[in-house]
Amino acid sequence: MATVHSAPTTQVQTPAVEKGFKLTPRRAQILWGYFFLIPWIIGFFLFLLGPMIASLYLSMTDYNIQRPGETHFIDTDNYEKIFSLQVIRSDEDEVDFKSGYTEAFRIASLHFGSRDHEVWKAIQVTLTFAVISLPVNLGLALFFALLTNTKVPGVRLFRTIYYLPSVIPAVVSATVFQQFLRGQDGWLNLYLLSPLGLGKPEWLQEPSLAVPALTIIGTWGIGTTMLMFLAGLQNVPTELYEASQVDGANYWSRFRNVTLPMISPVILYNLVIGLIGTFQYFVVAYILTPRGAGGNELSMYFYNLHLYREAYVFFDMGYASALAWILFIVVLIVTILVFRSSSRWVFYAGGK
Amino acid sequence: MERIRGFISNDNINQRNYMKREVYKVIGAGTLLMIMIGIASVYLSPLVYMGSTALKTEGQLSDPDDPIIPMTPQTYHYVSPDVETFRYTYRHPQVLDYQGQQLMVYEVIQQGKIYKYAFLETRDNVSVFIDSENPEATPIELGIAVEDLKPALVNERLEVNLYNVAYEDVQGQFGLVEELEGNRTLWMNPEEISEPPFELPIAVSDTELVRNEQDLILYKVAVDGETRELALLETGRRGARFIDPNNPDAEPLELDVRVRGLDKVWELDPHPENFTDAMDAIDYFKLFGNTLFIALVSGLGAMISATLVAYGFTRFNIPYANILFIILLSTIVLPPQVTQIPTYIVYNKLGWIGTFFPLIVPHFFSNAYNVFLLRQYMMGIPLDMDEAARVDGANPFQILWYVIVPAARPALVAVYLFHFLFSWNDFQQPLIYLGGGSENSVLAVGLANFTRIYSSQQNLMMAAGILTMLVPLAVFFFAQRIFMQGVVITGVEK
Amino acid sequence: MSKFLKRGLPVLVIVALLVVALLPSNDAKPAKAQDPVTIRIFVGVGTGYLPEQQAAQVALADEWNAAHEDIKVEFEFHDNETARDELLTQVSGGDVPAIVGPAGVRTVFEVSDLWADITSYIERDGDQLNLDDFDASSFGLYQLGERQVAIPLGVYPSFIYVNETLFADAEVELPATEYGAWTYEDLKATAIAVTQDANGVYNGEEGFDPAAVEVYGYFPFWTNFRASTIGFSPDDAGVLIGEDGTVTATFNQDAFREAVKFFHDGIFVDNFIPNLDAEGAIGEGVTNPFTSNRIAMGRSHTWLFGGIKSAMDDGNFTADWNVYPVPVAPNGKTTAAIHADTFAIMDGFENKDAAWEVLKWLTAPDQALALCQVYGCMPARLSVRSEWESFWLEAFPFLNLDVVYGAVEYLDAPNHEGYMPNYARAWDALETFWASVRSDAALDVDAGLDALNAEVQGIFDEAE
Repeated sequence: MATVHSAPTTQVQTPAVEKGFKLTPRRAQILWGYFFLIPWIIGFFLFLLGPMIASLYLSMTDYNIQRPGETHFIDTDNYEKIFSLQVIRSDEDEVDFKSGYTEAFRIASLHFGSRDHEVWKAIQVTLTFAVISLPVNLGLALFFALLTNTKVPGVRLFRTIYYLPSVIPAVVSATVFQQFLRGQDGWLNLYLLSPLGLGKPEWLQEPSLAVPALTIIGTWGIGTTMLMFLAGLQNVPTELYEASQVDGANYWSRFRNVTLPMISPVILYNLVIGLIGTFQYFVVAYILTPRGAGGNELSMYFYNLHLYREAYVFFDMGYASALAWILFIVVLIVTILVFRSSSRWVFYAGGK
Repeated sequence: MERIRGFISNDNINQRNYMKREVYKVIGAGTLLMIMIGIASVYLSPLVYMGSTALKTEGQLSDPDDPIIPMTPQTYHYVSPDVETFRYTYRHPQVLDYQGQQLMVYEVIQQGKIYKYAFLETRDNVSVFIDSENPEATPIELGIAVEDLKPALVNERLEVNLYNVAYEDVQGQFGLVEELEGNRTLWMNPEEISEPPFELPIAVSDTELVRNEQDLILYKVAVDGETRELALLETGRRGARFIDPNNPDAEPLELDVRVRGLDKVWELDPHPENFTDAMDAIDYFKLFGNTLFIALVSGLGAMISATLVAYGFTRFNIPYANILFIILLSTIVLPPQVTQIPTYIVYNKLGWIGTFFPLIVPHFFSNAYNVFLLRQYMMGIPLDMDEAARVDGANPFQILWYVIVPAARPALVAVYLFHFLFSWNDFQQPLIYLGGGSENSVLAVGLANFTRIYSSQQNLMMAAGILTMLVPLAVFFFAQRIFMQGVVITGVEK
Repeated sequence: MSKFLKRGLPVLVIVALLVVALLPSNDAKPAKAQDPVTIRIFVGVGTGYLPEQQAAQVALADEWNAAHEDIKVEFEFHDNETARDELLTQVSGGDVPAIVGPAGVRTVFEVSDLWADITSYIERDGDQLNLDDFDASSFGLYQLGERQVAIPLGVYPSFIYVNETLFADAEVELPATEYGAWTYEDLKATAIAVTQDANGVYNGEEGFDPAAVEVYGYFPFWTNFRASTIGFSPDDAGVLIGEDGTVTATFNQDAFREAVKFFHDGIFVDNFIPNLDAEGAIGEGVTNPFTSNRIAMGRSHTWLFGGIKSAMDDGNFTADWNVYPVPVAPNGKTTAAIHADTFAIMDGFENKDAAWEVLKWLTAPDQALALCQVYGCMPARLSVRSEWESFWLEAFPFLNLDVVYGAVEYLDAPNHEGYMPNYARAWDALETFWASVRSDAALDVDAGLDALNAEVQGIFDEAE
């Protein structure tokens, strides 16, 4: 984390003549700082910490929602279940790593099948989705933000329209997108693909189309991200643009050298929040197919869907908690890495 | 050389360059507009779907040929020369013919089975029954009074022709059960199918046949190279029979067509009453009020607390700020599914289940999303501004109020806006803490009412969905003005 | 890690417990002696939560509350989609409802540990209950080993719903009205004959387009693997429970192979059953798939009556229809799947005596009839059956009640939603397979069933 910024350095260091506590300006600064954190600290202890610790504790038990009375402390069994890399096949000669990523996961799950048969599939689906969907969403949202940051007539209306799918209530949008993606008479096929001669794929039944289908659905909901970028774009002082225009810079170089650095704090925000959201993604997939199965494969089987099913479908809350904490640690590490890298690409006007 | 010549005041060239720039500008704006309209049409499509569905009846929706615009096939009211028939089940008490005696049959319930026993007689306070399924067997004696039993009923499935009957005070449409000798007839009333038939001293010829009347669907049919609008009377496996509405008394036309391959004659038929029906179904105004209250109040809490906390994180060089910030972020990294039950326990202990508190109070203690967002903005505000204020002797609260808040106004609006919209559509938390079906709930939960286990009411759901979206959309449309002013404000302050 | 676990964790747990313990608690209020007990009835895991159903139940509660001072009844409604999660959260969160229902057989077995054993209550109040009055076949549905967890409220027999108008259009003869008079082969032939594409071409005629079928001959909608296959009369409904208590999965027996082939071929070879994708298109926007006029035959239960009635009342469904018997399976046996609904007391609820009083009242003849009219079930109480008949004959004067009652004679015992060890996981494995039957044209049915059976057996064994 290199994003800390030294506070104003105008304080005068008073020599500590007397022993004991003295409210130096530096200390006053610190106290003020903590003072403003109080709302969060209270809330954290009151509403958040307890449940978090409880779930950590549960992850080391066999807590079953159906039988809370029969809970035992089972140490790290749940974690071992996820990572129990028992070798169940040893035909190394068959392994052909050239066939790539999917194959590698298949082999991993065949050879080191953990006692949890689905978890590796879930990890694969989640990572694939993250790799495809996150850049698509961020890129598209930024593009829309730039588009609606112009002075085209009716731009406010366009902004509202692009934002519109984001305010469709979840219950309704699930129904709408189910209808959109249907093979026989879904709108996507009926009005877009079929006229283009691309046939009528069954989006929710064809395993290889599962992640693309979810990515397409996801792009309808980028309104919030777009708005974040728009707000960021408002912070780019116009004089910077004017200056660069005088320099004769073209649009692309202006975008790279002025816009991007100025909105980099928002990019960091959207990246981190998007990352967390993508790793926890499952609701849409769950509504479209409660078992995460696109056709005969678990092609929509997200990690968090697995977790949800273990907890609420199979009642194994202890194991689900262990899954949650693994996810927690992984995502937290990735987040910290992103923050560490941010010193190189995020520019804060209020910083050094 | 060329360039220098351009600078020489040659009006002609300058004029041309100017024109060129203007043309490019217009073309550029035009292209931009086209792209934006293209994207807009894609992004409007869910709303179009919702609107189209919301204006249709279930019948329109289930029609496989149903166009996007709510339309209904035109029909033609046809009075056929055929008689109207009525199918029904006639239930009457069962009677057993036992050795020449007509015995009433009763339902006797024993050990989880219904037995149909005919009552023979009462002997010494004991009822004697004959098993109607097996009358030859020895009579059964039971200590049950006949008065406590229900008569067994026989279901007879009948079909009758309907006639308009007028005899003294008996008037109406009745079904002909039987023609009796001597100009007498036996009738039944379709309104009261369980009543026994009644006799009238009239002949069938004294009454009038009730003609079968139907609304026939109009199709566009090609007949002898000419497209005509004909009403479908009857479909067959191959071919169909049509009535020409211009000449209904003529013999039906037998045509060799596949009905499902034909186009119907559509007419516009929107059903805006779906909106009011949907509102009635979920107590819309009550839920609307609840939703608005929760979103407004919790949004206020979210904005204020996030401002304070983000200010604390960005403007004071506090030790362990990084670690604290990571802890803050970590609270949204853990999947909520595993903290849901412990959190419920906390709220239950507080006695907050069934109240709005769990949906409002925690937001006054800030959350990671908002703090993070504000932090990113506040770090973009140059430090020299609070420097200047500090030199003027302002305390941290004054700096926050007079320097940071105005500079971060778009971000504050953003936080409030996003929280409002999040809260407006939040489903999981109100569901868990307010309960699903209760009228105490919010709109997002109320909408789930239309998805049902044995049926779904998509038209009403879409109507209610549109009504739910109106406020967030309006808020968004108007809030973007404050939001887009950001650049002006920071510019002025600087 | 382990050092942290041993030292750090207990400390953290204590801190968390302290925080929770310090919170003001509302259940610590001293209960006054005259405070009435509230019996909260959680509705939504099955039917019963629809707005038009709620009023009748609330009216019943008002009736009870007016007559009783010490026990108060309160119905709490939850949408079916989310009711299960809500119930689990409430129960684990220490906010246990007294009674849950109406709950089907599956719900009862899936969360079997949540229910109280009412055997001793039934023994105590047997006379009062008039046990003779309950349909003999319905009582065993709620037997969990030694435990009886519920009193039956109503049953939902199943049969074939036939859209007679579509048959008339296709000039195809209607099915037999007697049980035992037609087979699945007959059903298939009939269904193919009425299947029609968007151009009006019938299945089997030249130019028939299987990708654009508009009328499907047969669609057993809203169903699951065991419910769909039970009509082929497999032994033990696939779950063989030995005398020593061992459970064997028999989902690879011939009856299941026949059944799955019937559906898989019906979808992908003979095109008279919709596949998973087309199922959605038929259900779009309608009260139920049957009233879409796109299904000539569909197997369903009595609960469909309500949906059909509302579609007819609204003028959205004008076709002639009636119910017909389920066909005879290839092994010569006839099985008509039955569903049932009931109310069950939660084991975690403290005042079970009070809950029992309410349960007795709910399943008494008058209340059972009132509730069944709302839920669509046939009352398990025989003494109110004929009132139930009259109720539906008012709505559908043409209804063939012989078929309805005949279905009860051929009900599935053991039930297709009956006991399985590790119920939720076993159910899930069966449904995952069932989804692939309906979506994967290339599925090898025999190999698939063998793999499924092995998987389910593994799940059974996991439960010991």
